[in-house]
Amino acid sequence: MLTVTGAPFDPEDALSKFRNSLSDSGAVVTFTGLVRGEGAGAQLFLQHYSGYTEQVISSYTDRVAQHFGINAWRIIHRVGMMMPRDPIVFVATAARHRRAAFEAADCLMDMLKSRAPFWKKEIADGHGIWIEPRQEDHEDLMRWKDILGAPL
Amino acid sequence: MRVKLIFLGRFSDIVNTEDLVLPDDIRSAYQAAEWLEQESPSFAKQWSRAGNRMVLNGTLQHEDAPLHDGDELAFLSPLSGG
Repeated sequence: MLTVTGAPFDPEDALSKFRNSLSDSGAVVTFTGLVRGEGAGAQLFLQHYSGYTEQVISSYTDRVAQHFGINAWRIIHRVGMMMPRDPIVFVATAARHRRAAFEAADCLMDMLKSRAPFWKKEIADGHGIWIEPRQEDHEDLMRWKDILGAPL
Repeated sequence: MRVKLIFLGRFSDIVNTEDLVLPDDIRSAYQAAEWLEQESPSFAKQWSRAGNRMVLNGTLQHEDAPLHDGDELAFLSPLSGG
């Protein structure tokens, strides 16, 4: 299940709800991404295209779930203005065994980093800089090119 | 013809959407982009860079497409990712 939200979320609460929803899963893997940055005035603005962002992410998640044979997955992604240490993204996967759960979570995160329609602006001292994808993100995604297919 | 224009990423800083109305003789997505280039040098500069995309009514456009009354046309700068 995917949620894109402008509200803060609690990763621990999300994990608890996810785990309580499971049956026949021997492995649960989670990832939480946090806003980096220090210093007074540091903020992150994360923009999305409501409806389209969810549509694009959803076009990949079923493919990933099917490929790795996982039982369930959960993505929560925050948008809007955030402060350092705020949770930005939560990814959880559940499978009968750990390898599928680990790899599916890894794949979903790489997909979110490189294919999901989000735009980030780092704000410090009143100035904002739009963030471009890192080369490492593109390289990470190459591991999954046969699963995710060509970019849209 | 009423077409809703959406600007995302770098475009959202460049284009002020208040009172932005496409002229009636704009009939396609590419014509809309060309008109925006003429109206805004900053838009033209960003649009000339690689990696920008157009989305029409929720569908990514790889070629020109006709515009109709009520359409939503979005201009996306390169994704940052989540």
